[in-house]
Amino acid sequence: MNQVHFISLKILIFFIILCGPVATTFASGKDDFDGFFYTTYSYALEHFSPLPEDVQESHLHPPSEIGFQIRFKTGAFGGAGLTALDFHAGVSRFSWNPTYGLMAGGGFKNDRVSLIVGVEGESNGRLEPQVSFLACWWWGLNVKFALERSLLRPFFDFKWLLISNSELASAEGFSTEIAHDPTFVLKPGIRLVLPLLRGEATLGIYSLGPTAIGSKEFGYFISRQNVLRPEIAAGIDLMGFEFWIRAAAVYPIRSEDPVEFLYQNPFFTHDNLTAKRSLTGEFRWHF
Amino acid sequence: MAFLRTLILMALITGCGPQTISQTQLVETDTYISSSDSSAHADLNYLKISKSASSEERILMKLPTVSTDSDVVGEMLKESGVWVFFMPLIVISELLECHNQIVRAENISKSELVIDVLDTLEADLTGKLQLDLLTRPWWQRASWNRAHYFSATKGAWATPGGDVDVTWLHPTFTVSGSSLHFDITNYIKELINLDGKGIHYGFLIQSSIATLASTRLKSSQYENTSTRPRLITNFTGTCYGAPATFRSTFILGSDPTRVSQPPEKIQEKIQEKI
Repeated sequence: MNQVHFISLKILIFFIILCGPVATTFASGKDDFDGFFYTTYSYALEHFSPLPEDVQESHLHPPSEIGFQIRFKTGAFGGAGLTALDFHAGVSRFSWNPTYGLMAGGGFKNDRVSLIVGVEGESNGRLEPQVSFLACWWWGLNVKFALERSLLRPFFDFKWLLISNSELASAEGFSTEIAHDPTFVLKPGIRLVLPLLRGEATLGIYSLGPTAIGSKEFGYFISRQNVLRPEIAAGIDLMGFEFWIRAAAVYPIRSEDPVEFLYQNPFFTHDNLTAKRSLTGEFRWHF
Repeated sequence: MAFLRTLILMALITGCGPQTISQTQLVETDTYISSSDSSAHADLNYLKISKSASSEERILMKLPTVSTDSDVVGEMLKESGVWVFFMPLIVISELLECHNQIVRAENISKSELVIDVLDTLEADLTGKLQLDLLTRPWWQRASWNRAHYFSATKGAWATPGGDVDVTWLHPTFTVSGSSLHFDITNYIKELINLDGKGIHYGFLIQSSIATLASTRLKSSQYENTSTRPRLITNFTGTCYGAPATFRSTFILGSDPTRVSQPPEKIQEKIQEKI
């Protein structure tokens, strides 16, 4: 990791740690505010093979993340309204700048259900040339719904995402670009909430939009593809400190061509689709 | 020169009789592939061709299709496929400026692909090279084994060294001074006559003999633009009364047989874009 990384990381950690207490001071009371700081570290158990030309497995390793999630209660919906803010950053050996993600929105939450509608965006930052196909940013609509009562709490997330173009290479004075049509994500899941133990099972269904790769005299078209990402997680809650372990796997429908899949899929950080199977450790500190 | 051409044009329109116009179109994309070297060669100012018992080098070259400012990826997503125009025909129609912008194959009297030699160890290249027609799209960083790198299953050449149409008749090849001339008049006429259903993936130039000493040709990156590979086409400026299509659409992509729209829809779309 070079000097730029270290400086960026320090600034980021300072900002995130500062935001926790600052956010708390704006809340009128503990009941009106809910938030936590989190950090993750992932280990790829298995990578896709073969990989795109010049790409190594380590290039596609899920980044380590740090972030926070905050929910403020507002006066709307008879006092059940809330404002939601999620922010995270990801750092890996091969990202020249950290990746950033932000979700902001509003909704309501009572003792039975919660619904948040917001706008979400993420930037994969500036990456090494070998993984330039991941160097994009995306933004879109995010809808989260969850049941908040009982031990087993179903939930689902829905996202509609627009993805920016990226330059893959430049030769003979012509640029080769990659462009994506919108992607849809649906994540139904269920949470287990016990006094000490936590559990979660999710099935991420990603409909990756058609992708075009082209330069002035070349074109390659990849049609829409669905990808399944099941994840199971177990956690323990120790008075505001949570420790989680998550196991996830990625199954593209067209599994015979992982190279084409990796070019079509820009999801690197929060919704990592670049590692075939991974294990993630997560630590949460509730403010 | 532009003023002179305008005068010729006016003479045509006022019915002074047929005139011959020569149009030079520079090749913009070329590279060479080597059986012993997989690195990219598109940015070099030369193209290598050679053949021996242990290694071989071949040239890949493509006639220009879309204009420089085309949004290729945007068009591909819109059309769920890949469509390009054959630029020389646009030039033809602009030059002739016939009332209905009519161009037929009969307008073309000669069309040659001309490439200049940079240096060679051969005493004479006559009869030692052949031009083949490629049957697969290729990226600028193509190699001996791969046409492109964006797919694990569809990026490799079916035959290492390039996939060519074995039924295509090799055009006449002549050497004039330090220039190599491939007469592709019939091919250009055929593209025009295919009227929107033609495909152009490019050409492959290789040795037609068992052993060819190393030869370097000037590439599309060569410093002197007038000596870069070029298509020189001679047209007769005569207008025809019956309407005809003057642009052809060439499909690029992983599946050369896939057509997302019927030919009549293609023609409508072409006319809209004009």
